[in-house]
Amino acid sequence: MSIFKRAWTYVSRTRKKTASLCAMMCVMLLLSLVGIMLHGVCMDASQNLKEVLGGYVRLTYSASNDREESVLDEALAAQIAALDGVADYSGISTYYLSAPDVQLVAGSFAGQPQGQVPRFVGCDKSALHENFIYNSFEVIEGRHITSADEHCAVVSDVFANLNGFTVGDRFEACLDSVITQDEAMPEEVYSLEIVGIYTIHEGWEITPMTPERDIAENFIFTDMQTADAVLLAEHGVEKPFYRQGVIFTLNDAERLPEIARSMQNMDGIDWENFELVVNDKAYRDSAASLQMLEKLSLLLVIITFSLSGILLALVLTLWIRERRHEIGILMSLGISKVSIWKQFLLETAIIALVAMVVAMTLSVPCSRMLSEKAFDVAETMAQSQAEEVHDPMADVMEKLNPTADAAVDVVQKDDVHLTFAACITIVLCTAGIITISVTLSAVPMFRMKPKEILSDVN
Amino acid sequence: MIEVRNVSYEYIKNSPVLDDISMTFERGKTYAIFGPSGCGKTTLLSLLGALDAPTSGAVLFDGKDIAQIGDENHRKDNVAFIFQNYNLIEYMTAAENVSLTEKIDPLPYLLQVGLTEDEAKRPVLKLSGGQQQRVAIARALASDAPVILADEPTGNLDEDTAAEITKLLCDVAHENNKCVIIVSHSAAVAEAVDQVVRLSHGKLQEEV
Ligand SMILES: Nc1ncnc2c1ncn2[C@@H]1O[C@H](COP(=O)(O)OP(=O)(O)OP(=O)(O)O)[C@@H](O)[C@H]1O
Ligand SMILES: [Mg+2]
Repeated sequence: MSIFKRAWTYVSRTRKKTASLCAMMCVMLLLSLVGIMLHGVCMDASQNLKEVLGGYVRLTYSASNDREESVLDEALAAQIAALDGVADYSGISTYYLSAPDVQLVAGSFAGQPQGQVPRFVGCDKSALHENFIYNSFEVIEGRHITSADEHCAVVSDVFANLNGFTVGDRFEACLDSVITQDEAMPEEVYSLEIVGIYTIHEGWEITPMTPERDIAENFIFTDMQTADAVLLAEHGVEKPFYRQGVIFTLNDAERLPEIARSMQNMDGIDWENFELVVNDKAYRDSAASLQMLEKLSLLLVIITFSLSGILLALVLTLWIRERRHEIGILMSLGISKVSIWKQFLLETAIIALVAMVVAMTLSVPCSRMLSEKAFDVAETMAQSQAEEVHDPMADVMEKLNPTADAAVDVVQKDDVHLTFAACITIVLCTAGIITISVTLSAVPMFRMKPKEILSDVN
Repeated sequence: MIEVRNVSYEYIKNSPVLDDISMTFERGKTYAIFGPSGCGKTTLLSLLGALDAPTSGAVLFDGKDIAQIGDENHRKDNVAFIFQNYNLIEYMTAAENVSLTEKIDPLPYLLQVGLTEDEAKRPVLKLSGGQQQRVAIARALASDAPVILADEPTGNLDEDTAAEITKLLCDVAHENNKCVIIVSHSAAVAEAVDQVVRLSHGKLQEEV
């Protein structure tokens, strides 16, 4: 009878023992797999948070800068963006136009001409605006503004609903005396096409004293060409520049101080007139808890691994011990020790294989459930932390508090998956534990004479 | 062909169960070992079958020390056991137990010892003691080893079946030129075999 036939006969005939060993292995493998997957999710979450949380630098004007000589323009922005570690950039220019034909969310100027003035935020790429980086705002229809756009706008869903606008519609905004305070100046009319609609996840409190232009729903993101045109028409600025500075996003928030330093060391930037706002407070606030998260999840993996390993080794040892008599018989029939050892390995391998398939099938839904629970907790924690996290910029954007819990939202909950590496690790560990425990428990018996084993048993 | 030479065996120091015995067992002959319970018959068989090693002295097969042949090789190629307590693999059927080490059709051997085809397919734990004993005998008969070591092979069988089995073992020895050594208390066995050996007080004595 071949070794395989012997192994198979054992596995298929001693169903109760086989099934309980299989169930036990399955539970251990499941625990280990879930541990590994949760660790993976934690690492992914931590990585995502690192990217999202304050992974940007804002170059802005210093208080002493009168914006007559030293300005932030595209050339300077491009020069900085070429630095290693900078992912992308977008200039920001805020401006105001009247929109007499549209309806805004009412504020303190309701009924007056000033009440028809929303805030226009010109961007090269609206996706890089803080509100969108932090997911406080999210485009739900259409698309973001890109640097190639002209006379395009991204508006809030509330604004769109108030006016019955959808993506593709146009509305007019004009540079008139309400803005210029100059009756003599000719009116300029800009027709803007709505290319995207955003919704507000994290707004801010408004009071009866809040003017229309400061209400989040009345923010209109436009392309930079329109902003530059208004700047030219209103102030006669021929060389366009970024009025509210430039946002540089980074690949890795951890490198932020280093990248900021290399920006400051760049030639040709007059730091009397400019200021670098390094926004990694959110990251720094979270760094400790992120590291904690990483360490805890690693600990979880180590604990489940070693506990399962020890338990499996114990169970296998008992399992082999129980088969003393059989070992004695097989040895007395002249079957070699190696052959008996191979038979045991093969039996456990068959059982482990079944357990592995079951555990792998169950592990993904299990981990998904667990990670959702974990994220609910994390979200609650982040929310309480969010109240303390404030953007240090004392600009118009001051109110737009990027919050850490918005960042948690960015971590996709269905990111839970089983990697090939994790599978291989589990398979190798299981194979190792099986081989070692089967060998260690069988060897003492192999050392004995068959007579000893058989007479011990009888 | 299988020989014990100055073999002593002691479980407890200085109280030998076997005391310096020497004897040669030949091919084509049947032997019966008699002796009171606890005199060391099973011990002698296990030494012959390399299930254990003598405290001193040597067991030789065809003139070669089995320690040199290797215990595993000796057990695999040279001897077949019929144990006092059968020693069958519990989770296997009768047929599987018989064909465990040999590439043969087990059925003829099982029929030969008086089991039915249905019993052959049954797990051994679902057979009676006597039936299990016959499976153990069939296993030894199916082996092509030249030496059969039988430890009270008919202890659990009725007189008629016992006689039949004993005859079977003797026939195998004579027809296939094997050496069959049977430990027994039965007078019928003593009648059937070619040579009776008596073991008492650690010494072997051939009876004439
Ligand atoms: N493992 C052991 N440790 C110590 N003494 C043992 C051991 N096995 C057997 N003995 C003793 O050795 C002696 C010989 O035992 P053995 O089994 O060879 O007797 P036996 O002749 O086969 O007896 P029976 O006819 O009852 O089967 C006995 O007195 C027994 O008590
Ligand atoms: Mg005995």
